[in-house]
Amino acid sequence: MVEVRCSTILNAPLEDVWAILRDFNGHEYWHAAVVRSAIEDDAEGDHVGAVRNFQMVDGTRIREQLLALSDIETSFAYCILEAPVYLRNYVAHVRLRRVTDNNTCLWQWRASFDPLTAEKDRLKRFVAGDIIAAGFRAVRELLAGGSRVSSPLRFAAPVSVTSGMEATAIILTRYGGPEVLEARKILVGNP
Amino acid sequence: MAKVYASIIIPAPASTVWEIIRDFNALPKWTPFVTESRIEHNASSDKVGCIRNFRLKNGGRIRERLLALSDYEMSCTYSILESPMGVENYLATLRLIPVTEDDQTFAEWSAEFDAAPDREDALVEDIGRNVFAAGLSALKTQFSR
Repeated sequence: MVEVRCSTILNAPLEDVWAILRDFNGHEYWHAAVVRSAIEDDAEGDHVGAVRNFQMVDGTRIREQLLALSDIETSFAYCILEAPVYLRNYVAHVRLRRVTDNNTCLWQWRASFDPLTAEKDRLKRFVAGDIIAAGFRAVRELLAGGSRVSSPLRFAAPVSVTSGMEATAIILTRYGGPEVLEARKILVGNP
Repeated sequence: MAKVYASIIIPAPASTVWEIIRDFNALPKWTPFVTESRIEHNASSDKVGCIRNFRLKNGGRIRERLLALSDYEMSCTYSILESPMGVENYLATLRLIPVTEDDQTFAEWSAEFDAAPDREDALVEDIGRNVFAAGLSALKTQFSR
């Protein structure tokens, strides 16, 4: 078994980061490597046992199951059920810890798996770089107020029409709570 | 039961910070509030079960027993045997976690204890600020880059 352990400091209160991370399906909105994600069987993103089924930028499809979620420890754990890459027995743990000194937080992310010997180094680099470090970067950008680089929020964009009636829409401008909602004039197609 | 928690980021590798923390007898070297310390019965300070007997700058004497020491987790857990603070079942852990992205250290200090209900809030405030936060700040200043 190999283990990859990574950690970083985010310049944001623990509550703000946890609001982003605790939704098991939320990676669709912040992780640059994830294109589309859905929870199977209409479960919620905080339903322990839920399975997220998502597509990576390169087209690969992965299914992962939420094994544990704790609002007390601000942590969750998940495993891979199906993936085209050889990440056998892949289990990952994510945990946030408060830095009381300056009201920021530590984000720990570790993963263990059983690779083929020949693939070991390549897969360790892949997990540490493409999954974990890229995730750190994406959430840091999100907290800084930017949106993810690779693609804008699909559900947020109103359908574009060239003629029709003017209406007011509530637009979700970026990932977040009610504070990121904006009322805007849009055109909607004639009935 | 009351809980106290404080944490800080120290600009140095965890292995370097751990060299100081793992010595259960080193409080006078890095905290601003301990004047002298010894390990009872001449035991080694990394012997689990050993007792440190130290004096505070304000004159108080405290005896604490080392209950767990892990070089792997970089953590140290101890209990208070005798103190002037009026606490019972006091159990504390000091732990370091490497911040891998920039080779710094996350240090956290936590405790649980029982005390008379009317003194609990004041003790949480006093230990949290004057012991844990002050101790961690002093530790950080040793590694200012």
